[in-house]
Amino acid sequence: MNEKQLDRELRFHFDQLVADYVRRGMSEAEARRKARQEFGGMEQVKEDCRDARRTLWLDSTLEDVRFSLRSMRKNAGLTTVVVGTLALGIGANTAIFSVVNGVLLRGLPYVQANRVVALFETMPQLPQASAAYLNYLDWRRLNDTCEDLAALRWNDFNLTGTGDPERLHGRMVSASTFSILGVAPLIGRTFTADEDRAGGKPVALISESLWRRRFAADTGILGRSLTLNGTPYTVVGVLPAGFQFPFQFSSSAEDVTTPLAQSTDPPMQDRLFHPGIRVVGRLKGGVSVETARADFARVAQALALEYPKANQGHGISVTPLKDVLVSGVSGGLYLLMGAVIFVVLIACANVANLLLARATAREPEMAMRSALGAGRSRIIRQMLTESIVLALAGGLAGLLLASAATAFLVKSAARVLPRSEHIGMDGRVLLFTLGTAVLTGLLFGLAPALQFSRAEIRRSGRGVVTGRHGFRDLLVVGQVALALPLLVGGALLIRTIWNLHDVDAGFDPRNMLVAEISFSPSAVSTGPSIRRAFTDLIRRIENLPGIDSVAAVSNLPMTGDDSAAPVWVEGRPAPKSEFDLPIGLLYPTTPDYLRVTKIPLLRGRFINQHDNEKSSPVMVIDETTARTLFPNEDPIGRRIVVGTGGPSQIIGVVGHVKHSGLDDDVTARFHLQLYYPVLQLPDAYLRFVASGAQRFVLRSTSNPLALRNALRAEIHNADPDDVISTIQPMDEIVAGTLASRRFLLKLLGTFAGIALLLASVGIYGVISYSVSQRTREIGIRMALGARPGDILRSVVGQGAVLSMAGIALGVMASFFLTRFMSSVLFGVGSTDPLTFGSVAIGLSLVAVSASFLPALRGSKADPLAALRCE
Amino acid sequence: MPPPKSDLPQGTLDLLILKVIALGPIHGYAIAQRIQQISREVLQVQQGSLYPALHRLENKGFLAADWKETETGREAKYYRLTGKGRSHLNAETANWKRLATAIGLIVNFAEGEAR
Repeated sequence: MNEKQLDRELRFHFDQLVADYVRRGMSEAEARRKARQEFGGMEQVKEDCRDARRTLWLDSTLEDVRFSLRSMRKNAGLTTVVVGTLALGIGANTAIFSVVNGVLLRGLPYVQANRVVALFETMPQLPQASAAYLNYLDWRRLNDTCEDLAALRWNDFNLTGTGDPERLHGRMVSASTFSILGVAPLIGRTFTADEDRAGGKPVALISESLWRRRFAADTGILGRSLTLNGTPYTVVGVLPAGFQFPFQFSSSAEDVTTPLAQSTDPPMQDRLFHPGIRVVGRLKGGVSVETARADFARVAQALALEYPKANQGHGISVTPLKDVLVSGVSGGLYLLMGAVIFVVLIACANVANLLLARATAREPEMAMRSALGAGRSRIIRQMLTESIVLALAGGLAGLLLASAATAFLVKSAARVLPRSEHIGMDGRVLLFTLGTAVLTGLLFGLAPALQFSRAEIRRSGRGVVTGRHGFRDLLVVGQVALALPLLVGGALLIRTIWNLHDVDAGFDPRNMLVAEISFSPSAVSTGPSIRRAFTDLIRRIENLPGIDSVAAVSNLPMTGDDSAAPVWVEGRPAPKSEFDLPIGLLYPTTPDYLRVTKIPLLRGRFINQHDNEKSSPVMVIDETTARTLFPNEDPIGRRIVVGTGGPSQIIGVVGHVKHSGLDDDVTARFHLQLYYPVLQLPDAYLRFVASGAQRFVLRSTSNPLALRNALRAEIHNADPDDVISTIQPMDEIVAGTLASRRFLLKLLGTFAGIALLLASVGIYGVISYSVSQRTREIGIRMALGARPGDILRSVVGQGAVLSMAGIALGVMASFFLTRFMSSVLFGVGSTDPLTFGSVAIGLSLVAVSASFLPALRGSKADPLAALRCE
Repeated sequence: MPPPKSDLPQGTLDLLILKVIALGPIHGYAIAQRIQQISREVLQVQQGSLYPALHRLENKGFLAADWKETETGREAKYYRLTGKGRSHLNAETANWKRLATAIGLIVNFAEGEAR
């Protein structure tokens, strides 16, 4: 509109001028010519008017954009390479950012989630321990800074009485949980305070998915009775779809929730040997985390005075809930974020190089523009517009790439990342991508733009040796320097995983099968019936063909279980507090456990079938326990006390097992290992142990997976109400402990690969360009008697010098950077010279080969043709 | 022979344009003509300077414009002074007079000295 008016206004002026001249006696044609002469460049005037109106920016930018799109179409090949390169860089950034965004940045899905905090007991050996239920009750009563506290505990339930029996994951929670998290049930209600006490009416909430799956989303579910672990519970409500309690990994859906205080487990009333309660609280409005910390420090002090035996030296930590949930993964994610920033920088350098080469080709065009009156800033702006249009195209392609990559990431991340269900595209991710694209456009566009504006009307020299392009060399050096840390990081991770594969776990996971089973409620009602259930099932499985041996165990290594208790040697001075004692991992098990796992027996004997509830309690310790507790004595025959139990006699010493993973450190906090007969547990504790899932481990004589169906059938025969949750080869469980490192390696390896590819393309590009610029020089040299080999050496040498400079810089950067990944490394130092050396050599080989091709081309040039060129 | 042309000192073009427009609504071509006439052909305004200046002044709110028919029946863009433009003109005129007097004094004084 404005543009049309401007045109009309100037045209009017022009016509008036012509009319004037005609009036003064000129012919029409003459008048026109004179007017046109006088008027000068119509377009120039228009441009200045637009300038004056400051509408210039938008209008001319649109014009520049149109021009950019035209020139992109004309240079389809270059455009494809540039957009592809950027898509890789921006796509990688977007994908990782969407993970960071979903896991670290998005708020938790609770009402005013920033006020929800997690509370832990702290003690010298453990910075974050779960709380005793009685302590939780005192925290709730004594603190002044939280609106309320809630207690949560995992619990599994056997659902029986409605169709197939099923093992359901679930929670026991305090009634306050729902108001703290701000969740309302989909239908029905949550728990009342009266239900959240010992002896309260058994009520349950179920998940929306269970409601749909088992009860066809029938609202008649309210008031119905469900048999859970043999007890009838009345369903009072259904929790909304997608709702999750804090502290859980997305892989295990939780379907049943019951009031915590109704639990009759004896440990609930024990401040020392307790079942582990997770506590969350809602801060009062305006109360800072620091204030709450001070408040709970006071509470901890009061409790230490009141219950010195259990609480001496204990503190209470207060941390925003989100920080707790992501604390294990934020380091790895920021590492990956750093890696993709390197990738996009390398991509930028590549694109800048390509555009610089094109800029040289476009010097005449720019000289023309400049001669026609385009100012320096105008040319820079047009160039930057072109770059940003390219970058936006790259960003769009990157977004497509990233959404595919993100879907893959979510799938493979579910096992290793908390909150992975929150990963996805949202406004913030799109904004991030846009920002990255614009920033990269400016970054890689600046170099050619500046070169253009400097070019002005510079004549391209006809000198024999054209000036070396210092800036382009610098780009190559930078690319190599950026690629090296990624490659080193990837190589360190590969070595870590190799090292872990070579680790002796202390047992033999091959041909081992693990079945997770929950006994039917009727089987776990009394001590004798539980003991019968164990021995009966073991005998049945043993008799299956292809079975070498079977054992039951809770706390199987590498499953994430770590039930532990303090250990005291009878006869030694009683400790001031129980937490001065070393802590031992407890493995209640059955006689054939050693035979199944092939853990070596070092001294004495292992548990046998004569160690039962009628015989005196026995204990088998591992070599670490023997060394730690009995450095200069024979442990056999000594008596030790574990937790709140009575003394047991040590009958044997076995090898140490890597309990929490292949990277387990013997200096870790729980490194003592204690085996005792599950059948010797007192009835009350046996019921507590048996109400959870039992792991039956078995060794097969051949492929263990072939036994799956027979095993299933046999367990069903033993008791149709027994529930099998999983049957899994032990190999798989062991490999699972490497999952998060493999995840990291997969991603870091991909990024390092992209970086290597881009960097070698960059070297190739610059060397090719330099060969084409040096054609005359090469011709003269060859005319003067240089041989192809000399030329080859000279060109490859140029590439080698650049890559060496890059490698030197990259090695220095890596020395500084790899320390950030030292926590994930195993058996290899973060500045391992062998890794650094081999990566540096490998990268220089790639660099030299990338410069070899163009060098070969240069050396084959015909000297006469070379001299004639230009 | 046409009288020698004079380059306009920086910033004075705006003043001239505002002054001419202050006499009544007028289109761009006529402004150029009018300046040339009044200055007795000494000052010649190039289209290349005139139109950017007009658009700048309009953009600043000193001028407003309407499309009107000329006596020859064509549509032209007529500029007129806004209130803001008028006070700007007054301020600039006063400024100019002060400046011209000062420069005149110096030039005369210097000539007197040299004599």
